[in-house]
Amino acid sequence: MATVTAGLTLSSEDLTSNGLVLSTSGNLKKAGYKRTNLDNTTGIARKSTTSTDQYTIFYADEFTADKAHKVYLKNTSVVASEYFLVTLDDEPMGRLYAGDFAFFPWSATDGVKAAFTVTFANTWAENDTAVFDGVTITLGSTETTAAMVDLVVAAKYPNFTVAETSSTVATFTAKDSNDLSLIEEGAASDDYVVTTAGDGTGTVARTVAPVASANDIKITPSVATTMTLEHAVLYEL
Amino acid sequence: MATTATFTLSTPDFTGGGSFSVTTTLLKAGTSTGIDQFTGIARVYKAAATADISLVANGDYTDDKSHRLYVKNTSTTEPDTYVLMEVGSNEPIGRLFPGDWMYIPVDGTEDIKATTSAVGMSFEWGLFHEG
Repeated sequence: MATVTAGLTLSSEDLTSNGLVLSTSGNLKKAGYKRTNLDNTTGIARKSTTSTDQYTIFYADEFTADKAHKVYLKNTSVVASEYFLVTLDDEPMGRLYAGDFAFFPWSATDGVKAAFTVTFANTWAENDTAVFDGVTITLGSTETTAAMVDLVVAAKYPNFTVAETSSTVATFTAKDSNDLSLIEEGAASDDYVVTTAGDGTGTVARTVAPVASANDIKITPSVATTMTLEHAVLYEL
Repeated sequence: MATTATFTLSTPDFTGGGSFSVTTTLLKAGTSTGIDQFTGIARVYKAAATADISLVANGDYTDDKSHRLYVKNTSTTEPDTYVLMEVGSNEPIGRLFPGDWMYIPVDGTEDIKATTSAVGMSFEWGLFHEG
């Protein structure tokens, strides 16, 4: 990306006796000693809200922590009393009233994503199943226990990534550190559910305990009628 | 009272060819009345790396208002040094590297603090507020 320049001019004829003009600008660069130009952006986008619920605009998990990311926010409302309360996780930073904007650096310090392993053992047979995260793996007629890890790893899960740790072990990692659910072998819908006709097992063991992200950028609209936030992140990998 | 803030962002790759600019008038919360108080622009120099330098103490300002904070890292120290900005209970906002600036709303319910990461760093700041 070419040079990105961000500028701010604050001016007033009557806030101080002699008037005020403060103007600054600078090139947006990556963190670190070389300080090359920032080269990624989400683009300027808009988010409309229709309730006074809290909305997460940017997830820290999706950005590298402690870099030189920059966030732009603007309340596009024209009703003076309407505002977005901007919070970093649960810490309120400030209210963006109609027409107000903000531009600030963002640490994007993320949480710790949960991880667990599933170890497949004993004898798996045709039509034995493993169900997790809405995905069902069914063993085929010519397949044996050794095929389970391959099938599990080949599947796509909405909320987890999965990798083969060994020929009998698959490791699941949450995509979102805010997923704090306890995952264990069992019959509950959010558990890893194994159904076998014989003695096949799928033993779950948590390997990484999750810690929720505390640096997501969230907004809370002041009214339930439609409001629109304009937003962007300029970021580095 | 009419105080305005104008933000510009320019790069051909960011906006598809032109610069991006927004201007807003600094008004009191929920009104069409201009902000009428200002701390002035202060310059802070720290000979040593210093944690938790208070810029906005929540007890000094009315809660749930439309205060605005400007901060710029004016240091000429090494490029990887920074001023870490934090809100409330040391929740990180982000790192201002030399030359970086920020402009944020402050609602007066939480402290805003700065931490310098190295020796000989400086920054400037000012708060437009409602008292």
